[in-house]
Amino acid sequence: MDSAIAPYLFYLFSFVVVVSGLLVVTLRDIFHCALFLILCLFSVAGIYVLLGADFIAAVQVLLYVGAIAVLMIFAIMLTAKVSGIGIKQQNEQVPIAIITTVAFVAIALYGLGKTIWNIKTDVAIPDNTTMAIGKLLMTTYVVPFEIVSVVLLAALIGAIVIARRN
Amino acid sequence: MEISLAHYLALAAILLGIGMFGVLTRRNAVGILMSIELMFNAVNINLVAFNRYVTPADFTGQIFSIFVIVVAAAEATVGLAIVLLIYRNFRDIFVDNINLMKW
Amino acid sequence: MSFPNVDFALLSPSLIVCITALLTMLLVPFLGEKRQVVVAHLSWIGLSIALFAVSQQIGKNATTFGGMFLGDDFSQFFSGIFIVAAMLTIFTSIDYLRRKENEHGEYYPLILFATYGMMVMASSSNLLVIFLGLEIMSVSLYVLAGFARTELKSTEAAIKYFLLGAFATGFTVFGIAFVYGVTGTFDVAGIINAAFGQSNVDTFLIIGSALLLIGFGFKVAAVPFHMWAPDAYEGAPSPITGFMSAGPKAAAFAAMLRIFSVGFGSTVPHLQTLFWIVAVATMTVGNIIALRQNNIKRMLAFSSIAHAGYILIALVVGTGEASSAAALYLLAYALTNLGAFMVIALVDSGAKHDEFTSIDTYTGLARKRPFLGLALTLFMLSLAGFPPTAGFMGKFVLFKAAVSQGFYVLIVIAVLNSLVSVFYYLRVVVKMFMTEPDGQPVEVPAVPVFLMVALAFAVAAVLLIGVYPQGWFNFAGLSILGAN
Repeated sequence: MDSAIAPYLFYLFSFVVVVSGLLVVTLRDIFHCALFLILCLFSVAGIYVLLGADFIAAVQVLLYVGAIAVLMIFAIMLTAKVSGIGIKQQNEQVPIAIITTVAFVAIALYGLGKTIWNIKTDVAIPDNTTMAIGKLLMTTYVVPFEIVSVVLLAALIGAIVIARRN
Repeated sequence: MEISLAHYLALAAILLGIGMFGVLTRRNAVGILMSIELMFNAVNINLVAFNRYVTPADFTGQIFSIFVIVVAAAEATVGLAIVLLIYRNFRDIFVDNINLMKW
Repeated sequence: MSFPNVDFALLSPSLIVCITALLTMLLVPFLGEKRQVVVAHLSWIGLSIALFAVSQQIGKNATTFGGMFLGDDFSQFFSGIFIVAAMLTIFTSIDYLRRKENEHGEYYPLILFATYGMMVMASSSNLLVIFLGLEIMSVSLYVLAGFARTELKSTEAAIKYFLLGAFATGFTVFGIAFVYGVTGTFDVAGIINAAFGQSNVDTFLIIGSALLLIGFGFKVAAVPFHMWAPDAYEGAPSPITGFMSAGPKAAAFAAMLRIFSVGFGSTVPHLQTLFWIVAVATMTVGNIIALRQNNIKRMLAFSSIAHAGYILIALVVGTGEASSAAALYLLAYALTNLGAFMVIALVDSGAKHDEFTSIDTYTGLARKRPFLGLALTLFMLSLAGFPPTAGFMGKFVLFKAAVSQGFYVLIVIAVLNSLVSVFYYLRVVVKMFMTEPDGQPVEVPAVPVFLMVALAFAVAAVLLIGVYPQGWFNFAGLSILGAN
């Protein structure tokens, strides 16, 4: 990555993430929300590339954009009769929600300013992360790697049990 | 103009705030689920950024973020199945209309 | 970089539960509709083998997979609680599902998966593994809460439980990310080392810990994160309500005790104050709202919130003694509540839908069915904390651990709360014994043999812990690995 343009790319991606994120939570048509969710997820993948995490960026696109977002659109289509336009999409908690959210973000940003991070700059950033991650998943992190398969299996069975017809 | 860890963390905090706002205000169950996905993405930005700046040599944060993505997929699967179930039973997916028992 | 050494004996209890879940799950489609009950029997047989495996691992206090998986007495004790809870739930469910005409075999593997998740949660001090265990448990329970798919209330319970649970998961992982950002590790011992040396603890570690507290607070239904609990408890099938109140609560507390109490809680300022406030709010709100409930499942949901408040005392105190006392309390609470839900599920299964969950249903029950009445009375007394029951012993050791550290105000509030709780527990007892049944008497089904065994076991265990606590006090010094 050319370091001269990296800051501009960061601001570009961040702008897209924030704007599309805001549209996801405010638009009236839930289908449009899903499309902006996809845009937002793509930009987050761009952020990962800037951070040198190319494998995570690929996983993000494949799993989030490819699977989860499509799943959302499926659900919207299947429930289309009730999620159309013209129905109020927001409840009465908007003012409270704004206050809570702004307070939370303010606390987080304040803490951000106060914390001295233990940043290591002297270590080289690896170019290719895929091989290293693959090795770690099969050695140090083999326990969580095996356990997460049970998470997926439980979710799979659970979804079938819940969604099948009698 | 140098982008530092704080920039990424600020972005993550804002995205988390957006997600929280969505969860608190959306009436549509799928909309709430999408907002929760935004929150998970904020977490992942944090994890990958910490990984890059705090532990650049090992991949602890990146590996955690893979697991977060997988778990998010699992939760979305179950969640959308439950959404289809309420649609079938109530003909409605607005959570504040589904109120046989009071909250 | 090499493959870590694996101690399969140490892994055996959770492996057996997981393998049983996989095998029974594969068996479900091959059994006809009439023979789904075979899955239930295989499941409890697998669980009893796992319980035996747990008993073989007590005292080993070893770790495997490079410290990712801990087999200390703390985790074995909690694994025991989870397995017993799952077995009692299965015994309660066999007849319940048949009477509700909802006999689907997948129910039992899901219980086993949830149990496996809880065991994973209690057996690691790595936040990544704890998080994954939490997810296995949660995903299975979302489905189990909505298992009565044609019941509207069950569906509503599932969606509320799911949405708030997923929201809480977001907070949990955010907290983990912050803690990792400050300390550079996911291992509790490593976090302690990284946080301890610093003169002033970073703001982000405090925020991270607070976010973790929110995430786990949702799971144990601590105030103000308790909103989901009454609806989820009321709507879920009765045996699952019992399971939810016993297993996941114990698992979330096991993880919290490991993370905060013996973990890095003491190195983070303000955290103790936060726990104090949450504990007092939880027990008080739970008890006061429980007073005006007319549905017995909903009442026990608020009672469960109140009990979470008592157990949070252990996190305020933060000593090893308090952690062990909390473990005993959770065992006592699990046995008592599961016992109570056996009776509730039996009464509930008298109707095809959920008409029989109001407290009025229990009018005159003890006169018609003395054994059921006496058993439920014992469980109510145990929940209220009367001697000589397990509930009393749990409260006694927990409060003693707090008093020895000088938390007098907290204990006075807790004791006053226990007094308030006596009213609503005894209301059920009074209904059963004193009042004449009026109008249409409720037809309570005969007690099936498996439920009878489970009920007898629960009664015996509640009395045994209450009368002969010495056998359990030896556990008071549970050794906990992963601490300093």
